[in-house]
Amino acid sequence: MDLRVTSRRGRRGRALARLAITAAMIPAVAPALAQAQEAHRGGTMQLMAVASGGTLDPQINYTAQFWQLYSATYDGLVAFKKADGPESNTVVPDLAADMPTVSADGKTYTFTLRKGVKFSNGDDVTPEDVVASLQRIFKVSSPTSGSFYNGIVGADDCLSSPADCTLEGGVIADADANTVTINLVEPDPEFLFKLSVPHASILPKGTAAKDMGNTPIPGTGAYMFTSYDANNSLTMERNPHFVEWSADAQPEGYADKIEYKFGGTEESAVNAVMNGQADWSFDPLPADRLAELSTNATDQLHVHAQSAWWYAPMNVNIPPFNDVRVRQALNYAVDRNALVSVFGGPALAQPVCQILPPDFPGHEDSCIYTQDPGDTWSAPDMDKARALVAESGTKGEKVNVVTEDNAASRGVGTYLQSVLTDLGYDATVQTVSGDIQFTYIQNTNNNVQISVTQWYMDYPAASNFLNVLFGCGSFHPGSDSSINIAGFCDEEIDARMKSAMTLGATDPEAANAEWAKIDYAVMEKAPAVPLFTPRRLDLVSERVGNFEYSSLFNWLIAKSWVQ
Amino acid sequence: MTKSSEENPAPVLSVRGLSVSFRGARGVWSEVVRGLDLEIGAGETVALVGESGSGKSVTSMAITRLLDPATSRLGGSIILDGQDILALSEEDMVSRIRGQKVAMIFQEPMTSLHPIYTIGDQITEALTVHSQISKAEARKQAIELLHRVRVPHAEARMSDFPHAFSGGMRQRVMIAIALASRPKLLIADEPTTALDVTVEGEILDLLRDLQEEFGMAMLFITHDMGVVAEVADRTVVMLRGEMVESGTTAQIFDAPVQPYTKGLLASVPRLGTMRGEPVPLRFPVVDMASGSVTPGTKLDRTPDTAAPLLKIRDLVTRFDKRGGLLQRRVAQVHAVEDVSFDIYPGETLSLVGESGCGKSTTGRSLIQLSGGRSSGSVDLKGTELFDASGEKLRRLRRRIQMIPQDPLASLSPRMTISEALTEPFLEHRMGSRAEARQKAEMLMNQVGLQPDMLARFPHEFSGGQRQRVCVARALMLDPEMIIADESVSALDVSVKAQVVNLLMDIQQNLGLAFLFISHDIAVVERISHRIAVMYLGEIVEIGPRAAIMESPAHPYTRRLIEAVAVPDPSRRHSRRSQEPVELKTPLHPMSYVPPKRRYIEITPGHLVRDDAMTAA
Amino acid sequence: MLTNFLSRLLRMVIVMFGISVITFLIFFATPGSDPAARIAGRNAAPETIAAVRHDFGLDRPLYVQYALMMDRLFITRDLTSFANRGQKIVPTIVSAAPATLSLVAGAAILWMALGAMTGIIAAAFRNRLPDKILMGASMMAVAMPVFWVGEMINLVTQSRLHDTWAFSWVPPLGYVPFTSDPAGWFLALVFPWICLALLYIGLYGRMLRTGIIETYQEDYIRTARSKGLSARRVLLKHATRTAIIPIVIMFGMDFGVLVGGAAVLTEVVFGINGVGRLTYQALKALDLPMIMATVLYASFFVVVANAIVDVLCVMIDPRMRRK
Repeated sequence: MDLRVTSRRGRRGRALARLAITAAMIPAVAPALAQAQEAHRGGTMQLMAVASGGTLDPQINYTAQFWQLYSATYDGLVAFKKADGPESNTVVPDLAADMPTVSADGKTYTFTLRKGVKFSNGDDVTPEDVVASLQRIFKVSSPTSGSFYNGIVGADDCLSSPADCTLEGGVIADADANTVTINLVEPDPEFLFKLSVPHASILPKGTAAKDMGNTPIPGTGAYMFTSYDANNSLTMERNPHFVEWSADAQPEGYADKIEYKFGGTEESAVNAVMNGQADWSFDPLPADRLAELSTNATDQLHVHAQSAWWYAPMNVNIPPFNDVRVRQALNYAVDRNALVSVFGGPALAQPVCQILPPDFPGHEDSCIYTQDPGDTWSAPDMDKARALVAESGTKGEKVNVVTEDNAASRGVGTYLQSVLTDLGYDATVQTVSGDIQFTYIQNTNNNVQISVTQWYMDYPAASNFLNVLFGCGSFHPGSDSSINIAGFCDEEIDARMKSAMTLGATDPEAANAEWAKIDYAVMEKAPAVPLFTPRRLDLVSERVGNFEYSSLFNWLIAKSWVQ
Repeated sequence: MTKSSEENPAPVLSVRGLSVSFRGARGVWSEVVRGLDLEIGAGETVALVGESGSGKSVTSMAITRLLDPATSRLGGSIILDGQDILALSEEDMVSRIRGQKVAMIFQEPMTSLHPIYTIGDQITEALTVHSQISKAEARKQAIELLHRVRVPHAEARMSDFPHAFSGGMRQRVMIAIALASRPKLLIADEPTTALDVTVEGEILDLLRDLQEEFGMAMLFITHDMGVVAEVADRTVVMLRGEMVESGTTAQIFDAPVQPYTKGLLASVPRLGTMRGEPVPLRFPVVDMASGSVTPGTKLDRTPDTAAPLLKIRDLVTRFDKRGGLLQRRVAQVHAVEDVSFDIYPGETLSLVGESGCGKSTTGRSLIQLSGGRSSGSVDLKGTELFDASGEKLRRLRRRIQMIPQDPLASLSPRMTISEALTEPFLEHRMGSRAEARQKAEMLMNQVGLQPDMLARFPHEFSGGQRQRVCVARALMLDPEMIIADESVSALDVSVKAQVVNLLMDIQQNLGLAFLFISHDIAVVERISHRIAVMYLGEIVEIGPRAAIMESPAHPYTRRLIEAVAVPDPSRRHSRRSQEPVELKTPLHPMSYVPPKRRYIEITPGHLVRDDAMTAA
Repeated sequence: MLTNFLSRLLRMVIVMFGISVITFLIFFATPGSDPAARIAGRNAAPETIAAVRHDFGLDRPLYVQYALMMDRLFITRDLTSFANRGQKIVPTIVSAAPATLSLVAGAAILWMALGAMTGIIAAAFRNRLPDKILMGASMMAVAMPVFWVGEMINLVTQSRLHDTWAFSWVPPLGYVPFTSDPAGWFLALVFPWICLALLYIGLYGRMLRTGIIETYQEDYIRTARSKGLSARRVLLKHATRTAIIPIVIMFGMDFGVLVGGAAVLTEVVFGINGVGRLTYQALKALDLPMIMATVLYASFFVVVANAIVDVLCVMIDPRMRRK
């Protein structure tokens, strides 16, 4: 299986906050959603953000900000369940009437479409729409086209020549039977996750094969986009052709209208929410308001763990981090508690010492680099760190920490600088604009030694962290897109990851146990310093009720009411 | 002519024991005028004369109460037309005195008119501010006033802005404004100092005519004894805030009592005193304290006429006037047109003419500092200056130094004199720092300053001292020639004589050549071996000093010499005959081809432009 | 007149061409500026990046890219952003311009009126109490950072005292288009105007005061006083009119620069999505098409504002007609 499975990555400020508990693909039993309480139906929801999320095209946009909106406007064949908590990691049938039938070799998926579902322009959803939509992923060069959907038969031709993409033999529609069959080159235990993300949204077949930008594309969700000006505002209204077919996959919303305003500052957004002028703001709350909010607005604050980590990848191919002892030394020396305070305190972050986030599939508590190695991190071990540095003979070398230009990243970088200085290095911090730092640190031509970055999961699978961030397939020297920032490629570990993925198709439990061992094995080689897991804080206005949090889409806007 | 004061015993202005104090830094009051008595009757002209700092202008400002009350204090009494000026409120001054009983004209006609209102507006404003007359009536009266002060095409010029007028015409406008309210007293504060000699005469004539016509009293403030002699019935001499001597002008000139008055009179350069002198003569040395006069000595060194130091041939300098879409040249100012002359080692050649005649541009063009486009040939002992550029030009420039008109502006206020003197020396790598310092000390002595003054800053020197510093700075580079561009024009008479004598001393000692550019013909007569007269960018006459001064051949030269005010009260009231003329600027379209001039040699070395014969 | 206009136009085109070329070259000389990976999306496969690179013409020679970009910016007007795929540049700027224009124009009226008043009053009372108070206040206005002032205003009007009678009328932050609700437009802009104008009131007031006091040293003021004009008339008609010329020239620069995007801090603090914020975001994201467009837009306004100022100056000061 060509698993150049790669991941979406949230930026600070566009954090993709998802909490994954299980990677189960069991069709969930839909809980009886309470009858839409008529009293709460109606009104206009007011949302705010400092900036918009870019193009409105769901097959191209790759931001947590707009994926949250797509959950209520577009559907795939299958979907993550729209539910609060761990349940939201479950995949449920959406435009498909049931979960697909999968062939014994795991390469063929057959979906039967629901009848009577219409796009917001009034057209019926047909198998042709599904074929056209999957082709369109390649035609518009969707960011994940080469990583999520490259396992479909015919995808290679589509990648090399997007305009002529047919996915011949890969996606087959049967209009009479109302089915769609997808053939994979190799079995992929994560394929249904990949079909559940917005890039696999089903759009009308006539949709132009280009980035639609600010022009809304008709969808099947409870809401439709009615206007979008990336510089000012976005509005969503009820889709007149929507009839709820599955509250799990696409629940009917409470508010009649959702208005999203862009601009201002994080500070002013908090004021607006507190004054009832807005219901919620996408951006992280300013740290200096937290104390006040946590006493004044307890009921309006919602805290959730995220499936993400802040880490400091160390380039294993250039000095001094090409010496494993140096990488281990830094891991021993970093005081995670200090970092948590730098980031804003325990409300906003939790110390970590390994790759897979807490409660993530495959996570098993273990910490090598701490005072008393064991399950969890307790305190830094400076003696061991110093000894390792002395052994390596790299003392006094120059080390440059590359951070983003925001306060949090710079704060972390400055802290790492102080630790490196403590260990005897000549350490400096280099700050690069947030929007280009991520590609800058990936390119080996820039000779970045160590940097500060983050990774948020795309879907709840251990490979999404381990294989993506530390697999040989993710390392592309000289390219801006080389997500294995550390340049870590261990043949043995890479082989173990490949077999763990294969195992996942048949025995997820055993696979996750193996992933936990791989996590440990990678940490032994220490290609990165795990720093902390960020948490998401949402502040809503007083009138917002029924706050539900999905690990993939954050707050489920449609499920909350404003009256 | 009889004096009106005898017919009207009550004086228009009576000043008794006037004192003026200013508050300086740290609140210290210092008295700048003490115990001044002054009386002017209707129709009478009193001259207040003195050198800079004597308090004469302050007195005029005190009479009109234009000094800032926050920083000045007045004492004594000022009675103007029966009003006690010092007892009036500012409001009364505005509504009853200024612009009604008393009007003023000032030294700088270029800056005394508001630059962004038409002259019509400015005259009408003076007419309407104190009386209720209609706009049309005010306009009529304004035009009438412009006629009175003999501004040609008065009606058309009402809507012109001051910048469209020459200096003399502006001063006429100022006079028109002053006369708008038919004042009892006109205060004229150095009204002709900034004007060319020919224009100066015209303005003085005009003022006299108008005074007769309006019967005003006139307080005439000046430093120029020639002007005093021409206009004043009585004269008051001031020195450092105090009245030194007063009396009728004839008394003051013929029988001065006080040594200072004597000294002042002796320092005045008089045209014609050089008659019969074969070589330049230094000014008499006047001791201002005793008034004693030591006659000036001759310049002993004669120019070396074997070979010219500088040969200037067909020098042309033009300034472009650009316009249109691509900022192309649309016209040219022919600032210097076809000028040729020689300067010999040890010789002083003077360039004279009125402002705008191209004399300064000629000087600057020689060392390619004019900012315009020059052509022709400037040959410095076999080296063609116009072929040089860059480093070579810089080295050549060392050999020709300039002494500027305004020494304060040419010395950096943040550099000590020592730095100012040694910087060019070091820049040209003429020696070590110690050598530079040594030379600077030697030159300080030579220009009559103390070497220990080197540590001072320019503002710590008087005007004359600063000019000496500039002379020293020029000498630092061992030049072969010095261009002195109006270098003594801004100095007080006594100081002026000293600096001119200094230049002559230097010439005698070092054998330098001088190109002396000046509008002051009395000074030029003293210092020059030869004189060139320029008009509209061209030389109209050039020749030995005596030839030019004693037998001028070109009508313009004659006009220039005649116009000079003569410090001799007995010659007053002799009217000049010429009508006022606006000085033309030599601005011509691109297609203009200047006529080829020919010069006629009347006597050896005395050349005159050929049009002189036809025009004369 | 026409040649004057045409020559200005020609110079403007040359200036804008130069600026665009420089911006373009600086962009490509910046390390890490290659937009392909950022356009393609995070961790896109190499094939995807190649496809995007080809799609956006990033694989063509620089001069071709430049020509294409200019063509799409000025001729076809369908240039799209690098950072925000699908966002059309021209309509984005066109829609952001009214907000900035409203903000800057209103503030400009405010600061010119109050700045002139400050300067004239201070000059009239120079070195006395009103002067000292005004100069102290204007010094503070100049010294206070705009961003901080804005945050303070918001803290008071939007948070601390929002529910009191004094500020309950203050609408939520953001821009209300004039065409949709003139009263709302006005109310929403009151505080942004004040915030933006403060600095300039202080600056212009101080400059004008100095200018007037310097003008009082001029000979023509002495002439005016000796004519018997009242102190008030001398101040207003004779001194202020000349002293205001440098202020007008400065105003032209400031206005042009602010309309061109320099009001970014005020825009951001008050949630006004104008050109300044666009420029700032474009710079942050190294979004070349947007940077090019906003830079050209800004230079256009600076040039135009200067042209207007030149005309104004000639109206105020006839001396300038000569040149």
